[in-house]
Amino acid sequence: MESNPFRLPPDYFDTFSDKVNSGIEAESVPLHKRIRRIAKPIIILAAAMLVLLFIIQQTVNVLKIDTNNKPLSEEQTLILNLELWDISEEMLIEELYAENQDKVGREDLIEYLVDENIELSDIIKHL
Amino acid sequence: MQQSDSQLLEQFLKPDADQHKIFKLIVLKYQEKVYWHLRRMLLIHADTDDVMQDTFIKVWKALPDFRMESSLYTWIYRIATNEALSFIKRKNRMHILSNEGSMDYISESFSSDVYFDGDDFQTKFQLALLQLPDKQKLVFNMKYFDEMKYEDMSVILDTSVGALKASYHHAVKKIEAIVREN
Repeated sequence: MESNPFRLPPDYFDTFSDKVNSGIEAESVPLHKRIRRIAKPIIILAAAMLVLLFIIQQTVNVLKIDTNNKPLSEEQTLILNLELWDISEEMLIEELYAENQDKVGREDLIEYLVDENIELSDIIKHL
Repeated sequence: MQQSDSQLLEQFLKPDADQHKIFKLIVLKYQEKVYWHLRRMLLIHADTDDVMQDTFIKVWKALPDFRMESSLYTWIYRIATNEALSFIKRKNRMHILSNEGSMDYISESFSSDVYFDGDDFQTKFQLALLQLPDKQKLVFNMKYFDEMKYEDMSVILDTSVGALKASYHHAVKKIEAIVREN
């Protein structure tokens, strides 16, 4: 059998020695540097993710409700849950009267609020 | 004019030698012979290229310790042969793991290699060679294609001349039978 059935890329042997040289130079880089070259982008990515997680955690901590504070009273909760335009002066006066009806009459209460120039917002603040 | 192996080695080992430049001369001197030896084992160009590079990188690393106990070519040839056998073993193992029931990586990859231009007979011949045990195929290739002396083959394969002659004889008989059958 005379003819060679195997082909190879043109100029293969012209460039082969350069390929070998590149391989030799790559192997001559110390192992720790080779590892560092591969690991560097992975480490940077991992560090970036840790920073992001830290920022997220800090943000969550800031937004958390402070459970050490005194619990809100029923009136405060009621007011917080209401929209401002849901609250009428009449509603509040009724509330105040209901709480203090054994001490003061309705008319006296209204007279007092008018004489003292007490606004709706003051009542809410007081409650 | 091409330098002799001893001249190249002497220059390479000099303290102030440009070792890369001298090594390049060694590569240029033997790259074709080594390539075709590997190609006949591995059949596929891409695999041959990989093993070629590994071979010469190993030669570079071991060259400072080479003591000319054999010829430089025989020594390089031996490194290339061992690299090829390891490569085949690795590929077959991986091929078995990923292809249940399939035994031979080269047989399956050879038929789709773009760098093979053989006619029908040459294809059958190469496939027949693949059916030989790896070492027997090596003996056949070295004797038939490289026209190597049994004494040199004995050094490379670390096998007696008698065993090599017997191995070659059996290889020829087996190939004849396979080709005739197909």
